[in-house]
This record gives sequence, structure tokens and C-alpha cells, in this order.
Amino acid sequence: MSAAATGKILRSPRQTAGTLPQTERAQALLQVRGLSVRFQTDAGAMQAVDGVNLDLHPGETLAIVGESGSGKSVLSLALMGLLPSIATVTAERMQFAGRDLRSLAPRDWQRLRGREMSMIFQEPATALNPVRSVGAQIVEAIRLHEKVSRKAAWARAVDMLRQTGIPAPERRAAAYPHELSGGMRQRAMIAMSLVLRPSLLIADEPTTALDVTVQAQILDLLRGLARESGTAILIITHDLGVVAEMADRVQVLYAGRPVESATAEALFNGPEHPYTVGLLGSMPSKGERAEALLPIEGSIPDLRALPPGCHFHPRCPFAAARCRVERPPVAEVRPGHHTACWFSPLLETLEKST
Amino acid sequence: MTGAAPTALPLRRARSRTLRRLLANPVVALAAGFLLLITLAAILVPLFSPFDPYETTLRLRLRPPGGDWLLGTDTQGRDLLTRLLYGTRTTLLLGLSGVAVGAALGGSIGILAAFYRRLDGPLMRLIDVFLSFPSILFGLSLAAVLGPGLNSLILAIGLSVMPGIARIARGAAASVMAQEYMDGGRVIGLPDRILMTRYLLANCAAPILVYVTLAFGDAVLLAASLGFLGLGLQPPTAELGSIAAEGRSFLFFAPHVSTAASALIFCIVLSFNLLGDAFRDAADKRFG
Repeated sequence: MSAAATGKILRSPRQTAGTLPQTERAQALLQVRGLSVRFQTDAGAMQAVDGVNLDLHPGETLAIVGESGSGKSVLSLALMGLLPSIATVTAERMQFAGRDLRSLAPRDWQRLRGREMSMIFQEPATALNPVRSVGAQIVEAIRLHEKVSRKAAWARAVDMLRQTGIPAPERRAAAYPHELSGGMRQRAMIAMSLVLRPSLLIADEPTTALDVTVQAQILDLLRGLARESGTAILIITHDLGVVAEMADRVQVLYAGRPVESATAEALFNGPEHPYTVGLLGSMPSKGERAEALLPIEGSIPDLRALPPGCHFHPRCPFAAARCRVERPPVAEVRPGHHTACWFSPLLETLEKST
Repeated sequence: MTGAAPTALPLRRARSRTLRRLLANPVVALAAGFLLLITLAAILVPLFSPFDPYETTLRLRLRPPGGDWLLGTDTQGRDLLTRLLYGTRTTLLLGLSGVAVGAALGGSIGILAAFYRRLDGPLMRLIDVFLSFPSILFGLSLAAVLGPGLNSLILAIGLSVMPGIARIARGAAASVMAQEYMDGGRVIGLPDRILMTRYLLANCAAPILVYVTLAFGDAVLLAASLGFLGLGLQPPTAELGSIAAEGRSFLFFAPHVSTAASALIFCIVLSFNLLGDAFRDAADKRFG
């Protein structure tokens, strides 16, 4: 039944060059191998992210998908070097634009952030400094990295605000965040993070806090501006609609562990991991009104007390004895399509057993 | 197009509304009016007082209030009102500078402790040590150690009010640190220096300033107390505490000297405290 649900797709994902196998591609902009983040808390150690691999090429959009608590935001903060000191980040490899992020000094981080990598947050209401006008904040970002006059920087800030589609940008630049609507704040945030044309933009749930009608506009804007400046986007979301809209490749996380990674097209057409199948099944679709949603039973486990074996087995409809004791490794099912499940390739295995 | 004009007007209007509401409270209005009056009088006293604050005329000492001298004369035959206003000058100046020093030190410590988590423990334990001394005892020993003089007095008062301000600043800053815009500033590459000032300090200035108003009363009281105990500025400098102390020996047959000085100290400190409380209530409504 669940497997049948995989066939229905809401919108076909965007067709791009992102379907090439990654090995044939040019030098990756961001390459991460075995990234793990561990928090030392009073209640014991907590492995928030475990063994994540990422490959992001210039101009490409990669989506990181998972429920709340699946370590998505921790992952993005780790990539920006923004985790608090109670977190320990380890990785076999963490390359960004030819630099090793693992051994970056604070000064080098500051030079990198804003100019080469930037980030936008879920809640634009809290991510902008409330006591400074949005124009002043953009000017600050520009003048931090480039030697330009205040006047020239202001003109650029206004221009960037105009590019984000804010009406009357000359006046809005002088406005404080609380004087703007949610959508406009997010536009201002995007203007601030893209004004220096970074090569990587991390967007952490950029549309979650926004009105549905504004969501699509913001996604369009992000895509348009990123394409124009050749910026690669790492979009973090739990909304598969956003993935279909934006992503070239998708990486699904469950409890901080990668469970599936594929091109957006392959993932929507043939999801391999039962968790992905469940995510797709719990999504409403237009046209098929009578079809009941198929929610994933239960909730994400406590990261301090993960179930043994495959971490998803307590919620998995296919779980077998082996899943309860042995953790499945990440394996390549098809070229460029990786998953961590004992049953993969899922469809073939299920057909065989029935 | 949402239509709202993007100006800072609403905020400014809210500010003046807060101010008007504050002054609508008669107690607050009285306290503010008194402080304004006494400050102006203390500043302008050389312009309107016909008396010299330092010239002693022993023949005229300890005259009761009334007649040529509105509040009588002091132990050296000087006009008491003039002395008191000059004394208010000194005491307010000591309080103000002391609080400025305390706010600068305490504010920096609080901000640093909140911003660099590893400094939090050491800095705050240091503040706890400071807090464990009663401020009058602390000020007294500091003034004694540092010796007489304006600068050491200001430093003593500053260090006495510093711990309270540091705690408030650290608390306010810690809550701002949890805000997303701190990360928002980091992701555009801002260095710590700017994050600490334009982001952290700018966003927690309001609660710190409210507390500083309250600390002002304490600082004035401490300045006067040190003067009373003889550790303040040395005579013939007029200072409210030392005027009160001078009159103490003659309390029975010329009570006006000590009484007037003490009453003035009392009114000034009370006004600051009332004003500080009102600010805090208003701030709680707006920020809480």
C-alpha cells in the first residue's frame, strides 16, 4: 500500500543538468564526507548529525529534507561554523571552494561568511537586527568585505532591495525590521545575504514562517537571484513541495543520519527508503481528493537513546528482524542514488516477497 | 503594497506616549520636577547667589533660618542654602561620574560574559565576590585604600555600583544572545567587536539603562555617606554628606544645618529611586 503511494507525484521536479552522476562533474564547491556533530549535554552526549556526505556544485541546488529534530539545522550551522562550543564537529573531509573548513581560523571564517557563503533563516522577524534599519544592515555587510564609500554601499543596498522585488526600495531601506511585513523581511534578508554574490547560500527553512502565497514568490526570487549570480543553494526544509520546486538533488536525513540521497527527479519517481516513501505519502496532493494521507506512525526518536539497528525500524512498515539489530550501510542502488536500507532496491524486494 | 509608510514615526510616537504616561503619574512628575529643579539650581547657583560658598565669617555662624539667610548659616558663618547647592553640585557630579564608571565597567563585563561563554564563569564569580560586600563598606575601604581625591572617590563609587550593573547587563545580554539575529550578524561575517556593540549592546541597552537610573540613587547616597564619614572630598569643598556631618555637633541648638542637608540627600535619593522604579515598570510593559 505504501509502495503504491510512491507512484503519485505532485509536481514533476525541475529538469536541470543536475542529473549527471557526480563523479563526472567538475570540482565540487562544497564537499563533505562523514560529517558528525556531537553535543555534550548534562543528560549525556547526543549525536545530532552522523556521517553526512554532501556534494554541492557551483550553481546547483541541494535540498536537505527531514522532520523537525532530524539535525537539518545543526548541519547548516556546522557548515557555517556557527555551532556553540558544546558541539564537537568531526569530518573526514569538509572542503569549501578549495579550503578546509575543519582548520579555519576565526578570522578566515569571518572573511568567508557573507562574501563566499551566506545564510538565510526560517524566521525573518528574528533574524534581522531590530535596532538597525535594513539598509544599514546591508551596508554593513558590503562595507565589511569591500572598500566602498558609505554612499556607494547604500546605493547598492537599495539596488539589491529592488532586485528582491521590494516596492519603493529607497524608502524601505530606511525602515526598521518591525516596520516591514514578513515577506518583505525575508526579501530584505535575501538581499543582505546575496548582495556580495556568495558562491554558497544556505537557506534554512526560508519559507516556513511565511504566508503560502508569499512562499512561492520567495522561492522564485531565490531561484532567480541564485541563477543570476551562479550561487549554489543548500536548502533545508521539511516541505517536499519546496524540494520539488527548487532542488536538483535531495538528501534525506532521519535522526541526523543520511537515509537517502538522489536527484530530485529520481527521489520523487522512485523513492528507495521507507522513510522517504512515508514522507511522500504524508503529503497532500491535488486532484486525488479521495486518497487518504499516509502518515508515518510515531515520532522521531530521542537522539540520546536511539533504537538499535536501523534507527527507523520502530516506525517502518517493512521492518524485519534484521533491521532491529543491524544498521544498514549507505549503498548505491542506482548510479547517483544512495540509500541506507536492507530492503533496497525496495520495489524489487517487495515484489519478490509477494 | 501594504501601504504603511516605512518611517520610524510609529516608534517615536510610542516613545513620547510612554513618556507622557510616565509623567501622568503625580509621584513620578513630582520626582522628575524636583530633580530637574535641584539640578538646575545646583548648576546655576553661582549666577544667582549673592554669597560666597567658601568665605567664612565666624561672627555670623549658626544663624537660624530666615532673615538674610533663607536657610540660616553653617558652622563657619556661610549661607547654608548656597553651601547646600554647591554641595549638591559635588554630590550629583560624584554620583553621575561614579555611575558612568560603574556602567562602563559593569556593562562591559556583563556583555563579555554573555558573549564569550567561557568567560562567563570566571567573570560572574568575580562579580559575586564584589557583591558579597555591603556597598557602603566596600566604598569605604576603597576610598580609604585609594586615598582622598576626586578620582579615587569616583572609582570607589563606580566599583561599588559596578557588580549590580554587570549582573543585569549579563542577564539582558544572555537573552539577546539567544536571538537569531546574532547568528544573522555572524553569517554576513561580522567580527565579534561589531556583534558585541551594534548587535548585543544596542539590543540590551534599555534594561541596562533602567537599572542604571536605579543605581544612580545608590551612588548619590554612597557619595554622601562617604562625605559624612570624612572620606569624601576634603573641606572647604561643599558636599552634602560633609555638610550634614559638620552640623552634627550642633544638632541640639542649631538643628537646621544637619537637617537641611539630610533632607536634601533624602529627597534626591528618593526621587531617583521613584524615577527608576517608574522607568522599570514602563520598560517591563514595553519589553516584557
